[in-house]
Amino acid sequence: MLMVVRSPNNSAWIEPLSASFDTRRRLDERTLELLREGDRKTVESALRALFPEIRARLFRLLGPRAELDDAVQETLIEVTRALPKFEGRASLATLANRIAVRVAFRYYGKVNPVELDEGLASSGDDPEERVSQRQTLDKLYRCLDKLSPKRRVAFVLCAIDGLTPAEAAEIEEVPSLIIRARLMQARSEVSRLMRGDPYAEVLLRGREGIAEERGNE
Amino acid sequence: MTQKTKDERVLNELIRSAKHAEPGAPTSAQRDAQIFQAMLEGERRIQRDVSKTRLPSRPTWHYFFGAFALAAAALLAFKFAWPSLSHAEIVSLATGDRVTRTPNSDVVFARVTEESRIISVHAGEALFDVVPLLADASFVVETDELEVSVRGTIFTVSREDSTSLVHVFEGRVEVREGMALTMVEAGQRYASGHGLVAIDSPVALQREGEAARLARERRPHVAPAETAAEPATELAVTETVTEPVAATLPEPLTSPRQAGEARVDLQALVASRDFEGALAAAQNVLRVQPLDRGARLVEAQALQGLRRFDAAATAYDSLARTGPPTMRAEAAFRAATLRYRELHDARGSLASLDAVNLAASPYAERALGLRARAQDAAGDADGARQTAARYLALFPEGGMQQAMQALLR
Repeated sequence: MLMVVRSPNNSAWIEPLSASFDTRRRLDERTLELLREGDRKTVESALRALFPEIRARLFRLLGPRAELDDAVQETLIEVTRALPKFEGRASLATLANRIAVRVAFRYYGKVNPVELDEGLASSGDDPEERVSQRQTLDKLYRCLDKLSPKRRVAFVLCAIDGLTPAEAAEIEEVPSLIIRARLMQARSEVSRLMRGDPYAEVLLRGREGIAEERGNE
Repeated sequence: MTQKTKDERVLNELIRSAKHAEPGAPTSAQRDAQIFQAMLEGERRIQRDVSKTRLPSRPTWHYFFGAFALAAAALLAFKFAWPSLSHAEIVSLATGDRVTRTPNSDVVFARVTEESRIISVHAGEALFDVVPLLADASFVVETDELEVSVRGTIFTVSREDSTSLVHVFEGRVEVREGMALTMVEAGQRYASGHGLVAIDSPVALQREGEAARLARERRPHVAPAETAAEPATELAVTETVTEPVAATLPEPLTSPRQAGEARVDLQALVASRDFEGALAAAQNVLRVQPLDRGARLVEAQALQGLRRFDAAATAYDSLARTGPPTMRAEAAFRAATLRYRELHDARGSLASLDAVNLAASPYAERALGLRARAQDAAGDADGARQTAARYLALFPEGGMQQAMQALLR
């Protein structure tokens, strides 16, 4: 059972577990059974193991957003809810990704971007690099906001997350040919949207161009 | 360079940048709280799924006869007696409004915040007991045919066979059907496609509506200003009770089921400023269900109302760490405000603000202003100046502009 420890000021937390979960592999029968029965210790281990991947996946699917934590929470809840019916034919990570994509669909179309600095982890000490990354990311997600959700998901899964069309197709539960088509359409649409954008010239000139752009500002 | 090559290079640069971006890492406490909450909520939903699918797997003739007899009895009771709905469900919203719905109704709470409430009635009937609204707040009930706007009143909306019906018990509502706008007063009824119609029969929730109207006449008007300063951002309490009774103190509880039934009136007790009653009732629920976040919030609000600020701040802090994401920012901000204003504990206030990332919440501006003042009060003049400068940069038209400029000086 889950160990809930109560502190003197009445706050509760979960006792940390050492057991690790390989979410990429198919689960053995015993673990599967425990998950289906809702054994709290096993469910908790699974959620802990899935947490970083779910968070990273949703971050890429949604972009830096104020609702990232809400989306992660929703996905974790839905994963917990799906476990009693989980047959173990796919890996736990596939199940979680499938749910994360469905949750992400609910957030598309909502305009609520967060300041990019707030949503991003500080990557490196170079402020120039940081600023250019922020600007580029801003451009990309502005383009993605104009794509249809299905194309957007295909683009994020394959182009950004580096999944193969077959892997993305397993998550989306469609034939891989459809994912390939959506990816091609998404790529050409992003290219079309960037055509004529002054920032595209900056990107073409590479880092020097970005530094120059900053200097002009 | 051809256009195609240019496009490819731009696209690759964009993708390269996205691949390197990482989300800000949550603290381990935030991660634990999210997992903990997800498990609790997930289990609750599993229970709900199970209870929905608990139907006889192989219906026999006995079941059919039984069902037929029951249906006939229900029909007779409905035809010859007053339409009694002792099993009607009441939903108490965090905003103080109460929605009573018939068991077969399909009501969707699309949005419930202090500023705006949007509720859809797709089928069945629902009675709305709406607290007086703030000047900039709205309460809208939608059906496929109508849109009903309210400013503090009691009315029902029902929908059957693509016809929507609005019956007003108290106050008045504005009904929009297509381009036409009609004001429906107390005692009047509006039907989609017909406009104002004669009242020929009681609505299903007639008794409940009359009871709510009488209860409102007996109790003094509750000014909404108490909650306006620090808005509750989400639907906080949704529970089922058997009768729409006025808020009363529950008996000592022994089971989670009883706790669930008692919890419904907690918000009503807070709204009517009966803080002693609310505290006793919330603690009663918490004795049976110690992890009930709704009751914990009411406990904190009641303690604040009773001016037991230290205990209230501790309760809010606890919620900020373990509550659902939608409640955490509000709880942390309330705890920090109490510690700064009432307990004069600037360091404690800063600790409360640190518990949650408030930058992306509706409290971002006020939290930043509070942080600057708390830092100043705690003797961290440099930190206070930096925070004040950040406030002015982020919120140049902010309400605490003068206080921040004073800190900079």
